[in-house]
Amino acid sequence: MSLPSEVIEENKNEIKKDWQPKVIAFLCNWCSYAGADLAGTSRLRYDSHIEIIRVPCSGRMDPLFILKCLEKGADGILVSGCHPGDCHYATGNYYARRKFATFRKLLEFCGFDLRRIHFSWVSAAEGAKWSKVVNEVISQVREAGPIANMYSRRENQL
Amino acid sequence: MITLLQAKTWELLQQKEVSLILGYGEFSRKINNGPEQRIISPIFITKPEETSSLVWNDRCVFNLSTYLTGKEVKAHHKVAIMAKGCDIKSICVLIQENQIKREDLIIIGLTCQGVIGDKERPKAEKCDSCQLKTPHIYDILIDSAEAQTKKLNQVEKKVESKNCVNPVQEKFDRMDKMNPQDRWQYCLDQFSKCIRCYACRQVCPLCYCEKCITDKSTPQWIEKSPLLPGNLSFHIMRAFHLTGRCVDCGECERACPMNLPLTTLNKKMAQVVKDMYHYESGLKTDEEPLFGSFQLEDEESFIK
Amino acid sequence: MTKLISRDNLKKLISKVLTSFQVIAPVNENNVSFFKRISVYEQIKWEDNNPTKSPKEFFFAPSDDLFRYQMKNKNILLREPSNHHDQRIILGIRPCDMAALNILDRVFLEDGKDLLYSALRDNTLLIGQSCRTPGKYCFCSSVGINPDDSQNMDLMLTDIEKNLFLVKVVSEKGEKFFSHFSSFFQEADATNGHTPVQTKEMVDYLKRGALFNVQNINEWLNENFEHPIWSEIAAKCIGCGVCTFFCPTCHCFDISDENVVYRDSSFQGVRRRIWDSCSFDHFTKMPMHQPRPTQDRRFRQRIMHKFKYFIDRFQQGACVGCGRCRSLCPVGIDIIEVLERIHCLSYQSHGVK
Repeated sequence: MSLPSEVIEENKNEIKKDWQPKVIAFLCNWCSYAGADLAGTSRLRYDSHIEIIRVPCSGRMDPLFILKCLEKGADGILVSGCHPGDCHYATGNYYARRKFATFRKLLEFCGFDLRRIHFSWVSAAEGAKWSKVVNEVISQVREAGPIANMYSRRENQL
Repeated sequence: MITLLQAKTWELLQQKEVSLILGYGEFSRKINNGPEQRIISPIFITKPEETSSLVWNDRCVFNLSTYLTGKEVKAHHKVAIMAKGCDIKSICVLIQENQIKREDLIIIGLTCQGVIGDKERPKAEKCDSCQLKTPHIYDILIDSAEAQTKKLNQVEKKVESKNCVNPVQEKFDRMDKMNPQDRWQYCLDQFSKCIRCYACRQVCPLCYCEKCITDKSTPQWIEKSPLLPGNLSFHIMRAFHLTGRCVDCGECERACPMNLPLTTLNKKMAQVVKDMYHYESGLKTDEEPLFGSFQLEDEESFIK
Repeated sequence: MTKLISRDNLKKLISKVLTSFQVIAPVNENNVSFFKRISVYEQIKWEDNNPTKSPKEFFFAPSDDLFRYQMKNKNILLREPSNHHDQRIILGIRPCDMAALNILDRVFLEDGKDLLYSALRDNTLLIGQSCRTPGKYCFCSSVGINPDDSQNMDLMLTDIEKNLFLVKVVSEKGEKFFSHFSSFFQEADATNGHTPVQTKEMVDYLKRGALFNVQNINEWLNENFEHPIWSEIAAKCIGCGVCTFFCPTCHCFDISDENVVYRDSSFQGVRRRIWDSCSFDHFTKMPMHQPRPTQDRRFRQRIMHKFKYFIDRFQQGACVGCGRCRSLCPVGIDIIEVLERIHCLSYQSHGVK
């Protein structure tokens, strides 16, 4: 596995041939995390290149978490929380929704590849939706390719 | 000659209504070619007799509200501040976010016909789209000096006749029109030049956090080195933290010694927020902040 | 030894040199001028004065890798960065920046040699250029530096006619370089004095002399660690790092572990030396104590370091009068104003000397 920083500093454009995407998923403890659990106990198959981090609520998400993951070599990010109205803390996901919407627009304006950033509402009962979302996300990240490509900079041609 | 400004501020200090006045003073500066340069710089006035050094003219560019959240100023129980319409917007956000209390503050509003940019441009970039020539919130109103209006009218003619472009607007338009890949490269190119002097953060009236996330080292969220992945994270986070708050006073870009297009991201976010949530920052003190509120029908088409 | 070189020949020389050396020269991007490694001669932007950014960063980088480390099963692996660098030439360095480099030499080379710095210093040839006109904000003559000082440079160019430079070969390294590329140079005409071009402003500037006396300032600082002027002057300081980061002599740094990656039972990262500034509020922050809690004390530190501590330690001040801090400060704090005030105060307390 290659460290993005090493790729940046030492061998600028060399990416391993057997590259596989690595997606970090931030899941709300009360719904999506249980949804993923349900997908597992229901023996549903989905792409395994995803690593889950549990958060107490999607409202806990700071966009900095997303940037840090990308900087450290995650190829894609998925944030998943409860459907509007279902938040365990009543309104956390409403606040999160505004944050994600604007943050996504900001990244879009910076020219960041939006195939790497995904948000979803998955409830504890939606194991099937979870597996569908994961497959969709990972296929898009696969299209986008390794993150190290993003951070390598073309020297300005003069 | 004593101006209305000086008389009013003298009264405020004399009657002990306030213990500090944040204002603009004029200083002379030695330069090697040409005559002495007169520059405008912030001054802190505590004695009535010092108010004679207060000035208000078209070179008063600084947004003094930056100082309101500083420890030294907060130690005063009541302060008066000279502020143009654009500066009052940031004061408004500070009040909205409970950083200062309206009753602890006397706002000396300044009607402004535009200030002069400090580089080649005769008029500051932010003044082109100014909607608040007369401030929306104030306690005392000082009219723009006759001289200022006259001079700026001339300047305006010069701007029109020369078809002078607005460099900030130009940078914004240029980036807005690029395709995503070029935009990303442009960001990398520009932000790789950042040296992390944090002038943008320090001069920003709304970057008042006691400890900035970039200064945290355990755990380290944003790398301190002025190198690429970290620089980009810093500027993206800066823009995000100012989303729905930035009042476009332009101080960050003015302060940046590397001339980076800092307000470009902020401008875009202001546009986004206006389109999506019909929210404009700095106009009302009693409004809920953008991220402290929500609507049930907020945009969510991007969520799977 | 003095020679002549025409602008055309200089261009040919640099183009030739570019094939075997890294050439670093002043360029201008985004309306900011700075030193940068160039690939063709045309990139160079010749200006009358100092670029906005000093060449300090080529010897003491904003972020230097000290070493990489990896911890695995209680074993620590260390890897030092390679200290092999290509030969470099820095072109167009001005006397004040050169003087600043000498000040950095004292910090990094005396009393324990800094390996990173000395390696970079050794493999760099410095081609300076004297100033024909003073910059708007310069005050080098006030701190005892001449705008045509060639001390410690390897070669120095001086404008004598529109497209002709007088080349002074100063050091052994410069001589070696010269003998290697001697075909580009012409002999200086001994009968013609070759007077350097000086603008009227430069004549006035040199005539005006010092604006303050560094010795007096040093003496006053010795006695006035506590004084009301500090808080008065620094009240408007916003605490950014512009003055120190653009200063060619400021050399404070912080050390930080970056790029740390944890994997299984091992972790690895790189330890870096990063520019730091005494005007930042966390500069002296310790777990239980902050000896400089307010901005005026941080501001005082900057003046004290340049005009007291450094003089105490090295018998030389650490300001070279390049004027970058006064031209770039976002709130218009002017170091000349500060020093002139101190100068006046020193007269008041000691009488005219």
